[in-house]
Amino acid sequence: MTGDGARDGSNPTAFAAEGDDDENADFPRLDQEMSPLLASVGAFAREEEAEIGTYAANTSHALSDVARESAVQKILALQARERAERAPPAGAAGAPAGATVDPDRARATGEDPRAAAPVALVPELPRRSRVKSRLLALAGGSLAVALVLTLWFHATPGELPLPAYSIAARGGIKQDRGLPTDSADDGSSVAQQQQLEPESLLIVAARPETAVTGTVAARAFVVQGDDATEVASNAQVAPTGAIELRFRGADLIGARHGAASLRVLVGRPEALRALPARAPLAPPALGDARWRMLTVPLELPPR
Amino acid sequence: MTELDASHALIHRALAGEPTSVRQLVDRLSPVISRRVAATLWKRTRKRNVPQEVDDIAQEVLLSLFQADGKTLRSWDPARGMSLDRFVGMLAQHLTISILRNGRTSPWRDEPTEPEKLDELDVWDVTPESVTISRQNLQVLLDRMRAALSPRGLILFQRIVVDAEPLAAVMADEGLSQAAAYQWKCRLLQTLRHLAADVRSPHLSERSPGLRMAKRVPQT
Repeated sequence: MTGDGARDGSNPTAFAAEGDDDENADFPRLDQEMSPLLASVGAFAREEEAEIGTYAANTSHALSDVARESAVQKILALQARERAERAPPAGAAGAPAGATVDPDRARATGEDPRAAAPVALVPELPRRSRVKSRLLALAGGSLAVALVLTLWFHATPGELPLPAYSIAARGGIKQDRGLPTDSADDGSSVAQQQQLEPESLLIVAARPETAVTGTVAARAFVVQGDDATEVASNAQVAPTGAIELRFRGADLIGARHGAASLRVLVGRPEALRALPARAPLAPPALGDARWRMLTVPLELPPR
Repeated sequence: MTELDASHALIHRALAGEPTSVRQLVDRLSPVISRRVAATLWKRTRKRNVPQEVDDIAQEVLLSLFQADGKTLRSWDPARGMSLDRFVGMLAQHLTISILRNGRTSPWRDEPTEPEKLDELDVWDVTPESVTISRQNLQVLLDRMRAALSPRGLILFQRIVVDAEPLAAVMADEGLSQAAAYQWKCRLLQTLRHLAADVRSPHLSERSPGLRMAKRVPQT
């Protein structure tokens, strides 16, 4: 395949029988002219790769914990942004005919890929225009990345204690009147219950009692009975340590029905990383102020 | 389940947005990425102690794997003969060079050129005698070749041109027909001819190579 330097024993001209007439006519000349150069490029690449491979095998550089956590947060924010861009407009009367369900996502979230697309059963919430939503999503994403980077560059050891956090939530639906319900931040670690539909956008704000020094991050889990499933959130972290998280109703609902809770863990990235994949069912031990547990009770659609 | 299958399953869970799997995949890939980035930085800049720069670029590499619904990661198939570490290492090296050369954080061009547009390229000015090229220009040519490749094209380029693997084996692994392999090589050689003419024209080479390539060179 590399002309004179071909090591595969193939006959390049044999390919010509497969192409169209124009390419057939040009191919022998092209092959004759360029294959020696392609062989030189390949040889140069092999030489360089041998050096890089040797160095890589002997270097001990490892990505720092802070950088790894920062990468995870950026990836989750990117995924949330891309999902929001791909999702049909909120309140649309079902997906268009023939719409497909990503089987990977369905497996991960427990959704039944054969199920019909979600249908809006509640009054539509005011919607932003598509362009405006994209601009806001981009701006939000950029802000998140900028804030994460800002915090990352000013990272401090993960042992610093955090102040108490309170939580507020909005975006749920009041079933009897079809009105959105907001839960005021009353300093509690438990927000007002939020009733969700697949089209809901739940916005959760976690605020520190006093401004936080150093890096903070968040993880979120939907807990129902003994089951706890981590969910992606489009988190934005303010310099004060306040965190806003956004969740699509469909992501929180999955295949669940009835009462559940959203458990938000806010803490130092190192402390959060050390927590198990399943949400701890108990708050941090007394004296461990590296992370805080906050709760939003959820009412999911009945069967 | 083999290790390859387990890696493949982990990738699919992570691309489906499962945060725990994203964390596991980042933990799984970050050692090979950071070592490869550090080595590429050393090779291209001769810098040895650049942990901050390595961390920055390694994060960009990780993010690029997930962009566009993980298009790049999805192009890795364990059945095709390239290990995940080798695949990701190759991408890490590619992106590091892309960032060093022109500041791009995405090594892939957004829109591939349609094959029909190849005929419009005015690149038939390279003669067999003119392809003698310096090592410096070879490096530039190699970088630009890689930048013109799609993720799949990069795998083929690596296996066929760089690793010089037997063509029959690559075709079998990659599920390529003889016609497809022919088309690919034809486009690769046309791209090479165009880039070689460009690299050898100093007045052109000094001008914004990234922009020029984005406009004229087909993705292979």
